[in-house]
Amino acid sequence: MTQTRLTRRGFLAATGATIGAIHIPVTGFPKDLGAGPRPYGERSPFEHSVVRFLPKTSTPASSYSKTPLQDLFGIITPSALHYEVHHSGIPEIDSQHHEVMIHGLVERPLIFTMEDFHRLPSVSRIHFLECAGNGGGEQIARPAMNPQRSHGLLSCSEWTGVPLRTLLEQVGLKPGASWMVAEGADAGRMARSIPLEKALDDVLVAYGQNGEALRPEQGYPVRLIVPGWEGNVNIKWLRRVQVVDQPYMSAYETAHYTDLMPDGTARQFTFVMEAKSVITRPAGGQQLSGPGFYEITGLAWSGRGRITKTEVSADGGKTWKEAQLNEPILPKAVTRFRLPWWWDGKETSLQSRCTDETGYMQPTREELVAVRGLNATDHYNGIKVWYVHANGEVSHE
Amino acid sequence: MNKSALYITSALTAVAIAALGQSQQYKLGRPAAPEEVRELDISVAPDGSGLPKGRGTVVQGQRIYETLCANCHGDRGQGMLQYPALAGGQGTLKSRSPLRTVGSYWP
Repeated sequence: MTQTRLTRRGFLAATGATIGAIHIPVTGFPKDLGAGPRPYGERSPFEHSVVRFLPKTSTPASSYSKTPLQDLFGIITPSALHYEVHHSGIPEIDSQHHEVMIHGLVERPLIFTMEDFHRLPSVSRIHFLECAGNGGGEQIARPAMNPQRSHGLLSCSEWTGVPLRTLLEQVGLKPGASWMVAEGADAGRMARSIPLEKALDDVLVAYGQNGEALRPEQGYPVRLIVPGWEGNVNIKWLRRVQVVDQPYMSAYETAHYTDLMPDGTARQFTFVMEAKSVITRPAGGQQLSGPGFYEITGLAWSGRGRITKTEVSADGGKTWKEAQLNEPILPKAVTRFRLPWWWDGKETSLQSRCTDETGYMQPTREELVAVRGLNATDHYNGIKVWYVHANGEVSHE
Repeated sequence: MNKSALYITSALTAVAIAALGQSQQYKLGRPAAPEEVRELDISVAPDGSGLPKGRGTVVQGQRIYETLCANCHGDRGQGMLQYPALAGGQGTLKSRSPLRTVGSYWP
């Protein structure tokens, strides 16, 4: 660092450090002036181990990455750590030239630029996104080793955009309109059918994520946010909305994201991600340093609304204690829960179960498998158990 | 989705659409010309409407399949490596190794 100009902030910090040296150990603290500001921030180099997990996939274009839930605090996922699922890779789109067409059973088909979206009345809301397949391995008795591997296809962000309802008001709906097809600008033109009832309720055409423009891997410059519904319908790189009179049976609502049931039939249009929770600390892959106090913390969420209760069992499911839900408790968003815990040094297990505002309680894996069998692994929301061993090791089995 | 669920959905949608009547018009966005809609609209409905105009024979289809598809999905649609099977699988859906193809599964 060759910068010698002493800034006001740098001067205050420097004098502060000198005065502070009376009270704090000097060893290890820098004595030279630190670096100056930079145009776009970076995290501490000591945090570089906190990264998305990228499983090996056949091609980079059809791939995914998982959020390190065990390393995060609060409810917001940093945009750089938001989970990804791509079926045709990440397209590079120039927002200056991107347009979204809304047509079909409408009075006035219109084409919107990004400038149009920025001029229209906007809203910002916090919602989770979760891949339909999140935790699917748990269902088929392949429990994953840590929260990132087991539940990391889940993230939560503040999204800013225009309510889709506003845009549908601009084009005007024709009689018979009941569904819409949303289509992305990725190479595969990912398309999903969404009932208009949902579109007119709370769907956003979003361009902002956690205060800045969407990341390319999150759909830059504009995407759908369909609160509480499986990630796949939240079409990224939105290029077209067609108002129609029926679901269009695209590949991603027939071949994929449908649930094959034990009797050979399929559950289809299983949009809502049901109530689910996971303890993120202490959790698999972590090491307790000895008996004593630990805070048990984790995340709970429901695609049907607010979380009303999360209970934790630290004795193999025999007794359950109600955890504290950290404010804000928002509908279709992740809620952080906390429970103080004194570990006595004995072998035990930790698990959480949540209840949402509809009264629905998260089921056990066994309850879920009894109904759905083992051939469908999407939309799994069973209870996750972590095992604490006498040596302090926490694992998934 | 069963018929009564569909009926309720359409009834609710009809109410919601009626409420759009008093909406604010911001006069943003430009009209999409019919040729722009034709250019961008690639949707095909379950009844086949939206398909490009044209006709063909099974023999022509076989030639197209051999040129464009067989390299990955196999000469008889059996699939290979990460490329899924496109045919077969009838009668396997209740078993522990269901083969999901257009013919056996796609709802």
